[in-house]
Amino acid sequence: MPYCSRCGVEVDNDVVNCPLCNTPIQHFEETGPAESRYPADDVEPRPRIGDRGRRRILWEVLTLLYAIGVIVVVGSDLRVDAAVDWSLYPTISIVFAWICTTLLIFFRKQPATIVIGTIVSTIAFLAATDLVDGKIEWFFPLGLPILALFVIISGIISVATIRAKERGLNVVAFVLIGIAVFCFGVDLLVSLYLTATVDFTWSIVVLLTLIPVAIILLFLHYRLRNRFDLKRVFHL
Amino acid sequence: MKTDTQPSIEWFKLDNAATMYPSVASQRTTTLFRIAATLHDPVRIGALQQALENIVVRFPYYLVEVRAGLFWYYLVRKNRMPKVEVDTRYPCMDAPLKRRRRYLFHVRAYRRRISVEFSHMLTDGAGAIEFLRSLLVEYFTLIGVHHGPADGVMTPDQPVELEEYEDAYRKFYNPSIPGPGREKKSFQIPAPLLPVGTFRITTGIVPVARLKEEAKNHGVTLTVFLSALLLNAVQCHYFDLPKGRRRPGKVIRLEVPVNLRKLYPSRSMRNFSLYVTPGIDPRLGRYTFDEIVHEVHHFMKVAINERAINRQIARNIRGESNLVVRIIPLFLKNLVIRRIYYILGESLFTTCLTNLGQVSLPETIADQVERCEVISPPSVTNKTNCGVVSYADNIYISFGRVIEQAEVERYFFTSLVKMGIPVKIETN
Repeated sequence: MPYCSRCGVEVDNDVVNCPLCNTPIQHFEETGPAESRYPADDVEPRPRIGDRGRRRILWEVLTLLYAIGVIVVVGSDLRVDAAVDWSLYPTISIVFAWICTTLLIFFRKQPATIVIGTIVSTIAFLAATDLVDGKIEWFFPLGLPILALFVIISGIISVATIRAKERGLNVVAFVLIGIAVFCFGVDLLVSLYLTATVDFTWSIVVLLTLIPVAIILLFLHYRLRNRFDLKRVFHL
Repeated sequence: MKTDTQPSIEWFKLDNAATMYPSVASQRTTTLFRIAATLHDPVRIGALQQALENIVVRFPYYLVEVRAGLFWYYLVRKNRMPKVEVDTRYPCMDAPLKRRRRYLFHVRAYRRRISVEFSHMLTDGAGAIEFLRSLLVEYFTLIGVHHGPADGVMTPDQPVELEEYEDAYRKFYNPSIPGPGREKKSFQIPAPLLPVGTFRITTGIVPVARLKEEAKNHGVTLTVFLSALLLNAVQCHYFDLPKGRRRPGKVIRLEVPVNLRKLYPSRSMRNFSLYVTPGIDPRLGRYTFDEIVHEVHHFMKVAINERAINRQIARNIRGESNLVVRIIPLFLKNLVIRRIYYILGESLFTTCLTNLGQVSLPETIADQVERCEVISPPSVTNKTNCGVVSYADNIYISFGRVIEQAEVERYFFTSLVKMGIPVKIETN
């Protein structure tokens, strides 16, 4: 009987590689093949649903659910007054959600596509919501600028975070400053739209709360870190 | 042959150990295990079919199908004769047990080998061995090799005893005993699973005398020795893994089933076994083989006794008898049982080593049988499992795995070879 030179175990005559370590078995003498121990028929491997297939199924299920949502709201709207009016709002929201999920499902590995696609579809969503009553009112003075502000601030935070040599409390500070600036901008835009004057109200409170905290965090991060080890004080 | 004393039970509950199996049974976790005997001559299929039909009336508790009730699964008696089936390349696979017209056991034949595959819903290894012995005696009687009575083998002319039906766990349950402590999750071999329906078997054939001698040199029993070898093999594989894949904080633990018929006076032919769990903690560093042998030896001494086992029985029966658990409808139970089976069962072990001991056959037929094997059920959590049985001069150590890598097997058998014990390897 042949032996595996690596494991030292004995194997059947017809074995080509060692079943344990896959080392080729040397056959010194020609002997007939041993009687097979099991029928040779292999199982037919079932076709496996790959990652792409799984995503497609998920997408189909979600699309179906969204479609049911649209049918329900439009149907109830028609049932009440035989006209499609208020149901346009939920329908637009559902379509927006559908576009976002589609992007997330199919472009998982292309973050740029997801970001740009989400921004474009948000613009379309805001415009469509404004247009439901037949005229453009708040889209240009409010919707678009607030969205732009949000995108710009998020972009700046992301870039600052990526560029930071050490990430820690400084990232928290960036986010807090971002929130403060965003609130400041929203307050400005709203007051311009409503009263056509530059009048900051609530955002001052936000600013006064967040900015000092952010400054303390930045100070802790950039100055105190090198002076003494914070872990000493805060160890668990 | 039906006598008046013979109980005729049309349906019965699953025993305590089997309760979860119908819920967890799937194409991968088939709950089937195999015990096989290889003869010296090719199997005569007609005689085997006749032998099966003759003896199966002696085992009415196996002539059952599993059905879903409102709260629990149950077993329902059928009178249809089972058929001898052709063997498959991958044992213990492809068995939609929960369908109608499916018995929970198979008798399979291939060339010189007769195999019985039982679902754990019916019985454990001890029950299956009794069935196989009975089948073999009847088969050899039919082909004229064996004559007369066979001592200690169940034959069709004996009456069926009610005791054989019993759920012995319930019989020995003591409600005042506390359950055992909870154990923590153990290390699992990290490897992708093979396609559904594939089950790789690696059988090592080792001379039993040499192995016993080696165990005796260490002053331990064969089961302890094999358990230590398996723990050592898993340990070697563990330390081969790159650090990130070792899942630190987990212990390496074996599930070693214990046949409770040896501890308690029961003649139940259904499940009556529980397990002990020797293990090592690789966080404490690499163990030498001798250290593992000591660990396992002393652990087993403590764990295998009536008091410790009573606590396991108490926990298991209490879980099943809990009123809240009982009144939840089955379809809701099914949603969580797989998870519970994982949490309370499989996740606690790295692998399983089941030693069924020596298979004894009546002298007249013993020389007709070349060898026996046992294959433990496939498991997707404990990806490699080991079944051991000895017959005549050899011990047959069969690993079944649902992954490609045979690292544990390789370490196990090469460590035997290094001790100077010859090993012959066969695979499917």
